[in-house]
Amino acid sequence: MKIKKVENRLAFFILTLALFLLNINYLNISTILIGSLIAYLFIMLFEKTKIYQFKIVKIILTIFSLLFLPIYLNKITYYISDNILREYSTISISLTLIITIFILGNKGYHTIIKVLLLALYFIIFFFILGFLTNLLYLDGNNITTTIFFSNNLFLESIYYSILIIYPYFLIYPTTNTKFKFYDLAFSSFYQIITYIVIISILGTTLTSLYKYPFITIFKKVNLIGFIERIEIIFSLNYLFCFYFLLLFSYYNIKSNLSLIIKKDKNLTITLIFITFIIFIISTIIQ
Amino acid sequence: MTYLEKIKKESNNADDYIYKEIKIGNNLINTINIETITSSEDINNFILKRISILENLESDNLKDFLLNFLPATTTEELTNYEKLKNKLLNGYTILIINNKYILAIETRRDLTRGVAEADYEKSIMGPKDAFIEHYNTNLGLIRRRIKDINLHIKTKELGVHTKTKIGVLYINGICKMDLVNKIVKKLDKINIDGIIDNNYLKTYLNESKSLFPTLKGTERPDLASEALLEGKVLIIADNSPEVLIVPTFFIDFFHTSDDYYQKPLNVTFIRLIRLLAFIIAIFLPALYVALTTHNPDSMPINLLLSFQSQRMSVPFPAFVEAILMIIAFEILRESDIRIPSSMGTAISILGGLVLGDAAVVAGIVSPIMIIVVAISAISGLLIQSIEAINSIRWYRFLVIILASIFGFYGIFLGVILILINLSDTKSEDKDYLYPFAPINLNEQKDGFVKVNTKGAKLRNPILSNNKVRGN
Amino acid sequence: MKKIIIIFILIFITGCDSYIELNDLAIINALGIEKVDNTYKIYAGTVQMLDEESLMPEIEVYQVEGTSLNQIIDNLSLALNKKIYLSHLDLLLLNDSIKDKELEEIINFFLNNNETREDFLVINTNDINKTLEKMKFQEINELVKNNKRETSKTIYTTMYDVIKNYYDKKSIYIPAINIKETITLNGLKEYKNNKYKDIKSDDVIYINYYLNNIDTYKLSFSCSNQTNKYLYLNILKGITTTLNKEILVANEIKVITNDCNYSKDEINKIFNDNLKNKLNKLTKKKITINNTIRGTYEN
Repeated sequence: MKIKKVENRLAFFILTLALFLLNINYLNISTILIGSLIAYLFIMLFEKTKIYQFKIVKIILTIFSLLFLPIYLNKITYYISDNILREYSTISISLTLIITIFILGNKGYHTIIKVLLLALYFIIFFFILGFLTNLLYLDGNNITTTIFFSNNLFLESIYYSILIIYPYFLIYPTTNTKFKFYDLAFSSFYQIITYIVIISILGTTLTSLYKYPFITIFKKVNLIGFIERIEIIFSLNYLFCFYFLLLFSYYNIKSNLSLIIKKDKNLTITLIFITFIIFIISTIIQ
Repeated sequence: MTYLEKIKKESNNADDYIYKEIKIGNNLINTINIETITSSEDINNFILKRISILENLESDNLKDFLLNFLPATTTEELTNYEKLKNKLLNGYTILIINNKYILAIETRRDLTRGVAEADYEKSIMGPKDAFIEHYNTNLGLIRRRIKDINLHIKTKELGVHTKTKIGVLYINGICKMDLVNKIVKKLDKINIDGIIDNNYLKTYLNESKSLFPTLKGTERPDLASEALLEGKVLIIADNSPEVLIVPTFFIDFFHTSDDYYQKPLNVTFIRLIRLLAFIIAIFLPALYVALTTHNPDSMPINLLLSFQSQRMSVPFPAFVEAILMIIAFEILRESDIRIPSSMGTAISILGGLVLGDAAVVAGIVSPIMIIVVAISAISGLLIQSIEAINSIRWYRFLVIILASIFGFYGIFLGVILILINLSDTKSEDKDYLYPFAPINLNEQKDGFVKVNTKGAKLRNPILSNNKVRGN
Repeated sequence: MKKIIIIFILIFITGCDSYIELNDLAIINALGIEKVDNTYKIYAGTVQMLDEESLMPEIEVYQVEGTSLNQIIDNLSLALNKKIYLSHLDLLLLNDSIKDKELEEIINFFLNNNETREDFLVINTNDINKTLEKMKFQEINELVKNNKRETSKTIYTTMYDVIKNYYDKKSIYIPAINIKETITLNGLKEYKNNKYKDIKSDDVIYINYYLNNIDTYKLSFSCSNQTNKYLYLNILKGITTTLNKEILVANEIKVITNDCNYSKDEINKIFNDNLKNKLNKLTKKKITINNTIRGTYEN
């Protein structure tokens, strides 16, 4: 059974959304727009020169993934610990997370995409549901012109463009899919709308105070006096998106590992070793 | 040794082997038949009556005469002793002419019940007949529905001691031939003592390690004919009232034959309820355990206070309570199947009292736990196939254990593990979750949501190359 | 198969850290903070359903003292013998003694605590202890909510609004509760620049106009020439849009009794004059009002 191109594009959407939400404190609408343009130019350049066929690019990408994975495992563990399991030690949370990633990542790209698609049916349903419940709490007075300006426009735009180029490399060249403009346009558009909704419910001061404002907007929902405290469903929803981010990054390491470590033996032992090191590093990072 | 003496020796002079000698002139005809599986009426009518009015003929002519003129359509000439044994044990009458020629005539006795109503796959509308244990009747019920000369059969005899007759059916032109060849190859490798029932074949045809079944056994001929028209393969076995459908997808367990006899919009509602019941059956006890132990902040305060007051008298933690109630319910359900109907009512009252009132009043369980476990258990019974219901039990246990350790994060881990398990299964090298995991929007018109397709929906592209018509 | 065994072993090794039975939780529904002579005093009202047959949960009040908020919460858990559970906090009672420094400490406490959600009601009362003892379960929340919905004479302030207005350096409006023998709602208190200021309930309507927070309310005007006859108006909806230099107000008015037999234009003029008068005290922008009037009036 072949994987269609549409399914790869959906994976790209989820990965960029996950990266956006984890870095929302540094971003702004103008950084999103400028950063997307920069990213699009670079991606067109990479596609024309077919840069992925060179070995050195794959090695750089694998090393980047090896650095990326502990940092984001740490971030996601703290996300779980802040929102879902409050009094739990973070070690057991990150241990179970990395074990499931290890199991699923070793099964092959086909299975990974199938799990993503099955989860997507529920993720998209809850996105629509969340959007509809948020619409009742919008407040137009909160949108001011400050959401368009920021202090370090240039640096933040470069940072945002990296957050798009990295998922591009994880998905498109490995499956020989052509990158189209509307993938990037759709994901940036959705992110801008999410940002505007968050600002219009909370206001700029509260958005900068909270670490996960996309969860705080659900704490305000109180319909009919009975539908309240629903933020846990949506935090699990976003947790799925974050999980797939880690998963694709791990799969990248696994598939390109033979270029770095030149052995003919079975690579699972080295993979276990690497996941263990990633886990240890992620617990040490502050 | 003559054939007769060989048989007498090998069968150790068994009581029900009947031997008769008939002398016609210089020729000697010996008849052998096993009384318990042949019908003596047929023997008398078709063979002995004819033979008794014969004149004196040469032995060669006698054989040709009997081969051509006995009033039975299944007269055969056999060539060696193995075939003689085979036919004899299958219910044929053997005629040995002058110890030279062997003839076999079918005179089987019908030892099965008549075509009856379906036992566990009930439906409101549509035909109500079901398969029985007789191979020919089952095949006949299918052939009545598919009157096509392209309905091909490949027969085999499997099992060293049982020599069960197994037929592989497919419609030539719709089905893909490599699927059929693969199945036949797998069946060829079987080398066991006996095949008592069709379901013994499942372990050989089934290669995945997942908990969910990849083969479906059905007892209704209308379901079997629909499966043939989609491009699937049927396996019929003698002495088995179930017919296997290969390959089966996950979505097939949520379809019943009733769905094709009603309006599409109403059917959508029912199928979505089945999906909801499936999810409730797996996750509801785990959700309750997670809510009351690790994450009480997801409940409104009135519910929290109500749960708190109910749990005050219970000595066990929530996790132990849930497992106890589930085990008690499973025991009750198993006993319900085995108990004879004469003792049924008293035991069911006892079970209801134990689980219902008495446990709550005695202070062992809280009433909300009984409601949760009862709803989850009843929702699990909504699926028609017994194997799928049994596979839900393990998932339910896994998710409860994870939820009691990790709370809502444990439910997330449970979902991921279940999805990994489901996505990894392949049914005859085709993805188990076909219209959903590799997406095919056209096939999803008959998935969980049924869309009114005017005319015919195209055929399933992974089961057949011929896409033009459909249902 | 081996993978499942490994998972199970690892899961059981990690243990159950945050497993807690419901009966071991002390659910704090209302919290009162005041500062007396440089020490904090905290009053915690916990709820519990004592019997299964009782309809309302009962509130018990505990009192602790200390010098900083975090220390007090530890003392509170010692006093209660159970785990302090703040996720279902519905009410925060403050006093006039809470000024900038204390407010900042309270805000930091709630923001740094993972468990608390800042959607509870914040009120100001003159005697915290007595209020908590006389109060029934969710009585004050329902009082403020219903008042806001029916008469628009108060504002339902949550902690989110307090935090936002504190950091934006705007004025914070908190409903004020007066307790003598029963609990009564007594207008608002405005907190700005370290000072509390009383606002009467009748004036709250115009503050709600300014904040675009109007539900329905009723007004009465006495007739100009006759003292015993009144004009009753029921204002169903009010929408305020603040632009750069002006404020637009739109109202939907229903006339209940029109004893003075005013015409539509006269009613319009009376209402608009009153509204402009009061709004001019709050803002200096230009005000334009647009009304749709239904009911009985003379043409």
